[in-house]
Amino acid sequence: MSTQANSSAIGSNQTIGLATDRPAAQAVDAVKVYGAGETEVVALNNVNISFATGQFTAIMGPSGSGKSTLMHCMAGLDRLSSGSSHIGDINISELSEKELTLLRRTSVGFIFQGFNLIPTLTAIENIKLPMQLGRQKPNDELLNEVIEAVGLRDRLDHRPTELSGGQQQRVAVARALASAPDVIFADEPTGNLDSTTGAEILDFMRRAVTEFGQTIVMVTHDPVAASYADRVVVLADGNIVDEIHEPTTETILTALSSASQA
Amino acid sequence: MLILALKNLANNKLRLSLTATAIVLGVGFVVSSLVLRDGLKDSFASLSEDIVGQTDLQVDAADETKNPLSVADLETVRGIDGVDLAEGSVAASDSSPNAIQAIKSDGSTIPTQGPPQIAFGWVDQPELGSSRIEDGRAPEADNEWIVDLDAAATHEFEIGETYDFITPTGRQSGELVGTFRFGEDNTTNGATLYGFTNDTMRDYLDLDADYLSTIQIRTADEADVAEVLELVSVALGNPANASFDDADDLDGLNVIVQDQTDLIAESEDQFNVALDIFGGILLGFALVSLFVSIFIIANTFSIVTAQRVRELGLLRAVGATPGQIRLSVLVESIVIGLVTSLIGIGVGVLIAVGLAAILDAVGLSLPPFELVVSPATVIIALAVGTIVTVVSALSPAIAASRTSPIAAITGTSDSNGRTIGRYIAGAAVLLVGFALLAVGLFGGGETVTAIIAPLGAGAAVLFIGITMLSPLVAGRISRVLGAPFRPLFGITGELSTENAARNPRRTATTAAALMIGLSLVSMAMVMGESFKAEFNRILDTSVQADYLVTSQGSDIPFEVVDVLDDNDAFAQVNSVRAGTAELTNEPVDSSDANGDGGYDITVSTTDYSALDGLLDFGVTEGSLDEIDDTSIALLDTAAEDLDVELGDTVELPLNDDSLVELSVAAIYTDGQIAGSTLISPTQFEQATDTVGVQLVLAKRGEATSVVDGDMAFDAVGAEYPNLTFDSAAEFRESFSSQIDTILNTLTALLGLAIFIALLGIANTLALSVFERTKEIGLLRAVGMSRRQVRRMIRLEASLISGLGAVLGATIGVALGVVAVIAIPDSFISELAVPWSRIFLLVALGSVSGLVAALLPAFRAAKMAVLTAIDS
Repeated sequence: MSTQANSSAIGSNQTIGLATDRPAAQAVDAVKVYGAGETEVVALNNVNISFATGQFTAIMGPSGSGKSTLMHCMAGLDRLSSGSSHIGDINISELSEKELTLLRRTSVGFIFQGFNLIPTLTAIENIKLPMQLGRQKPNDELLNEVIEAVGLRDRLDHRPTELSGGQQQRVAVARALASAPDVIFADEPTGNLDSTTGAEILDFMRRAVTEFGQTIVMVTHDPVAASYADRVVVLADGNIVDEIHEPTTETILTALSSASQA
Repeated sequence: MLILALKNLANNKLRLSLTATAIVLGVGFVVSSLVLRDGLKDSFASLSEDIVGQTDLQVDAADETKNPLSVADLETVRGIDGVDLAEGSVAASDSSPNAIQAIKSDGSTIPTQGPPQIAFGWVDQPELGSSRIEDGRAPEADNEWIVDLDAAATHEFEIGETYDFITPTGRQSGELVGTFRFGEDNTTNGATLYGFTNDTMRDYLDLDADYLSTIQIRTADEADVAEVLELVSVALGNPANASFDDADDLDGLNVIVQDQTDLIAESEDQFNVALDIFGGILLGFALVSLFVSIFIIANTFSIVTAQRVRELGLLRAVGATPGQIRLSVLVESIVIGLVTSLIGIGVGVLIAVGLAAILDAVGLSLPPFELVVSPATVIIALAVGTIVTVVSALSPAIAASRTSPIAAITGTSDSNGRTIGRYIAGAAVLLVGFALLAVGLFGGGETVTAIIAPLGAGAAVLFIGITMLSPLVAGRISRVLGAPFRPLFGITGELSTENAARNPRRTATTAAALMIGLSLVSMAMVMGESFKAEFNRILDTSVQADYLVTSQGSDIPFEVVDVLDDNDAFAQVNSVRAGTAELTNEPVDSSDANGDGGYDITVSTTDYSALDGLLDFGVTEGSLDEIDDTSIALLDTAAEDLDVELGDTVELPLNDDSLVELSVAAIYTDGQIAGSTLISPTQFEQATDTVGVQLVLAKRGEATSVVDGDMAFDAVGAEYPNLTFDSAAEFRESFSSQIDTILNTLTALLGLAIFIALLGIANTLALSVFERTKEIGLLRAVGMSRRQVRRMIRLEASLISGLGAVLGATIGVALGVVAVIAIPDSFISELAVPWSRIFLLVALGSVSGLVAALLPAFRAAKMAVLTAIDS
């Protein structure tokens, strides 16, 4: 299937790069079916994938390939039809709605494409939101580090409407980082940003992985964005069709074009 | 555009149902007040027909007291050509001072506040009246009596048993010999009807042996009723062709003769006056509900229009003119108005039934009635509902038509441009409201309508103005009220506070509905409390008696005074008698109501030598000791109105139409017990119709202990179950509970407006939740639990209702204070604010929002995280 030298076997539990043996997130025999009978759509077709701790993974693929579904199911926003998904040691497929909520609060960070911040809260309040929902005291040291890193110290008391799009996304990244989750899921985090601002955000996410040892899984259809990752997983028709390590824009484009022809 | 409007409706069932409920309830209340009034009118109309029965003509005295009918008159009538049958009867009702009341086997009397008790001389003549003996027989001997069959069943009167009666001539005792049916179905509307012989009636009422109240005539079949009427009229001393149309102008007439049509009409008119007042009061409350509905509907339309901005922008982009957009919103409102008004008619009938039950529960039982939905009611309901809806939709429709095509892309409309203008307009509206209130309060309106109309309109305009201005403070008040939420509920509390504060206009309009209901309740509370305080002040300063006897219906018989006086337990006993007379004076005064130079005034009398320790009228000039048959004491305000001073002369008309000149011997300040004037007992007898006593006061003897005094007093009270025997403390208590009953009834009637207001909060929240779907999705994604979502919505609701409650209580207390100040001091001079009750009202009002939030909170929490984010 793969024409690339540095592409590896499909699926698997292999660990890569800086990672330890323990995967931050994992999907086992993941199947997701929407609808029934004639309108049945198989969004995920027995997918096995593992995201190692401290790794930056990009999930790519054409529209309808199942990349968003995979992310949603692994993040506990949606449930698999069969198979299981795991965050750390926890099989989230077995969790109740309430337990899932607590898991999202403590172990998962989110960065969405457009709507990331609560408009009635200031930047700092948005950053602390997951911790405050759990009525937990934020780790001040980490918080300081994160705020310093995103460079928003003078904007902390501003409301989202008073921030630029890039600044808003930086706040979103900071929020995801501040609770030091097992894994951060990012859904097209730069989709609404111009390329310069987008690059800033991606740089920052890259640094989060490299400097803080954060695990990030990012869904994107932008090869440039994906090139910031350690590893790119390509999906088509609910299957993982390719995987690239240490990707470049070129290798990604090649993989994508072969995936769409497959 | 018409089709678009209709499709819009079909596709937005939630929005439709939320808007509809407010209209349905508002219209429903209006319909219920009309249905109740019409139903009761029908019921009383058939009662009127039953009262008149088969009587063709009826004769009454033109002046009962001076020139009553007699048996001789009856004989005269019987001798007239064309009179087939004539009977005379003696009647008494408990609303008149000469009431007759039976004592039930349990020793109690039938309460006089309810339907009337009417005693009359039974005419055993089936062809005249409409009553027939049901069981037993007609009364024949002295003291024998019969009762209508429903009253017999309700009050457990058994044929063959002997019962006591309270009559103006003291206690009597008589055997029940039968029951009778009044009309076909005994439709007495709950009244109790006693039948005695005419002689027994005369005996009980201390009347001359030939006295008659009315003469009923059946004309011969071939006779012309109008001709017989004229013959009867002339035969009984009237001038030829006398007119009986004007009940206020019977000068020169001896008797009134009416035919069947007039009798029924007169009877109906009497009932209708009361029913129109009753219906009017209900309608007033219904209009409050409808007014509140307008806020809810307008708010819903404007939120929905704001949410549809992208769609409206698209319509504009593809070529819809602003006029077409406006029309589409208005067509939508017309359709909603018509459909919901129709539903409102059905709901109104249900509310009518519920209202009757509520009134029954607070002790104001209505007589049985049928539910009548007249064509007029249907038309009024449709018109009112549709107009209210369209008026509510006007401003949102105009806002919608201003949507720019670019909104299709940006999804935002800049509607905040005219904020300052709105506040200026709000301030102007507020001033108009104040002006109208001032006209009502101080404009010197001479009729109730002339005072109530500007007050009602002023209050309505005031509320609109406050609602227009309240966005200025809504955010701030929300944050103040929400301040404790942060420490209590953490970030959830803060989010709810910010949500309530983020759209001050929406929050303010939603809260306005609750504000109106609660301000009216708290205004009534202030007035009620002030009345209580005034009453207590009178008791403190004017009434020093230990015991008081009062009556709800008939006068108190003189013997009560004597019995108490003879009892050693009481050191001092006195009584107050009150009546009405028309006092005149050379300079015609301004409060002359009927325009004939007279001054209708309460005149009272008492034993001026036995006032010590019982009564103090607050005499400031002269002395009450000097009141004799040539002198009078005046209340200070009455003296002012009459423009007289100590030593001046006023004229008092007596019952025999002569005038007596009285010199002003004293001026006093406390008129609550005595009214405007005090005269001598002799002059009182000659100037009024009052038979008995209105108030008896007693002071415990110094040697008597409280317990012994109470026992002695209660022992006397047991003999008079129709009178109220109270110690000073009980007297206060019973007045206070009467005021509370009125307040509770008022609150119950405003309950629907408050309910509609809560519905409005639910409505706004549901729309806000819908609007914030993405936001709630994000909150859920980053770890907000369903429970926290529900709490966030509930807290926001409590802030909206809290805002309404705080504003409502503030305005209500202010209005109440102004009203108490504006009411003349002779009615109410004390001002009291029931703070603890007001605070309770605010607390309950705030908490009520939690109830309103139940459904929106549930919906918000139920949202799937993913669909919320992806929406």
